[in-house]
Amino acid sequence: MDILLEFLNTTGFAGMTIGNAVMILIGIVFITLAIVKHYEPLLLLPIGFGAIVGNIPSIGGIPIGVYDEGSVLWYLYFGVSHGIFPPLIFLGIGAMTDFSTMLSNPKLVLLGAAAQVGIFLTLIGALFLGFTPAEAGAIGIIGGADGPTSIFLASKLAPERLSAIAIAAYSYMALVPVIQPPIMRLLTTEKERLIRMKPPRTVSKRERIIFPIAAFLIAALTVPAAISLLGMLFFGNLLKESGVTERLANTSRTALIDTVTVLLGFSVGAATQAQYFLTREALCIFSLGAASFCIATAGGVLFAKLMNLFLKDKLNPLVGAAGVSAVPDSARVVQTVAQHEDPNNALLMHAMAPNVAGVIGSAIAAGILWSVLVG
Amino acid sequence: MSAWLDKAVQNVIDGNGIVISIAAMLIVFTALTLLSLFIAALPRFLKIVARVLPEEHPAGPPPVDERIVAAIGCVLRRRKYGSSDGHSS
Repeated sequence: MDILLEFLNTTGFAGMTIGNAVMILIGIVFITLAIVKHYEPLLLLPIGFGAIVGNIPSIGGIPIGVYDEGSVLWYLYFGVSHGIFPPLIFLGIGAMTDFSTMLSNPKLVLLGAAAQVGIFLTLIGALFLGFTPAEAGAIGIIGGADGPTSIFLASKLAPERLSAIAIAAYSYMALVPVIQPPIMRLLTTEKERLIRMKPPRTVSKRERIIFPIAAFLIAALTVPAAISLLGMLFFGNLLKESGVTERLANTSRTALIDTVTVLLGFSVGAATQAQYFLTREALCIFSLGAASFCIATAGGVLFAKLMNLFLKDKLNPLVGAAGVSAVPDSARVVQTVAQHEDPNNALLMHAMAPNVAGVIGSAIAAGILWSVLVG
Repeated sequence: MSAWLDKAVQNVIDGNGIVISIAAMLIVFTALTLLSLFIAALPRFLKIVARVLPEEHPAGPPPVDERIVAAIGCVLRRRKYGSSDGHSS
């Protein structure tokens, strides 16, 4: 009988808290959103299931959770906690990104910079709410709308807040189609939303090959702390554009990025153990992340309007919203909102330019924050 | 309330929040402006390079699949001569 009672005490039921149950429920909601609504299924499904796995109560003395040194999940989480997975994701993104539209209209690069305003205003907001400067930097980067970048910076600046920051970043990325359109409509007139942009010019192969090398040198020499993210991004792109490493490019954009996404999503989900995740600070992080994302969207749109004051060939200000680096979701949102006004206005290609510039911009911002706020 | 507000503002000042934000935003803009200027100058630079080292496969429209051309030709011919064109030529 004693043995039976002892065994019952080691079951998950005995150690289950309300917090664990809430997190399991959140995991189920994520899985439902992924399957039913198709919101970022490649991320929300692994994160959702990871959250369920991570909230099964631990048994005393047996290392099973991500925070138990030596457990299998701890080893999987190692790639997240030490910032290994994000650069590998960037390698895959580089190998699947076509920078041609950006190369054909370099003005649009500036929209990718303007949208980073969300990061830095949120940093001030986080300091205002009492977070340390390092935590504030890690929270602000959510406004970059780039999951891997958020995880990378959080792992360097605020590892204890990593799971909340990662979940917030990926949640808002999944909610791009919900969050961005109202802000875009609010800040633009109907006339502006109807603007048609000149079709992009043809970009030569030489331009596409030289770009990743030169862009890396410019960005990395300006902000050396960003080399692991930008190095992998541009390396992946060079694999694609060189035309001589198709096998490597193909592996990077398919098998490698998929494998890392599975491990990253699952282990980030498993890191959302209630005792670490359900805190007042996590709620603040979610609120600040939402604010950051909204400010970033507004920053891009307003900067496009500002540029229009000086440009002969006007930009459709909606493309500014794609300056947040949720690739390619925010570019798709721009296309959807524009086609709502004019079904024949194709803005997707134009929106991809600030979108990929936003990826570079947020990686540079992460590098700056890391070098300024570390230690 | 006032004490909380003072503390919050002091936290922003102590953390150099405003200075970091402005400086970082300027650096992001500088880096991406340099990138933008480089991209704008690249075609001109490549024109000069092309005089010395012409591109083996100059940029142009992607190679067209001959089967697609044949299919388009077939459709155009049918439109012009009717569907029984197979026997008309």
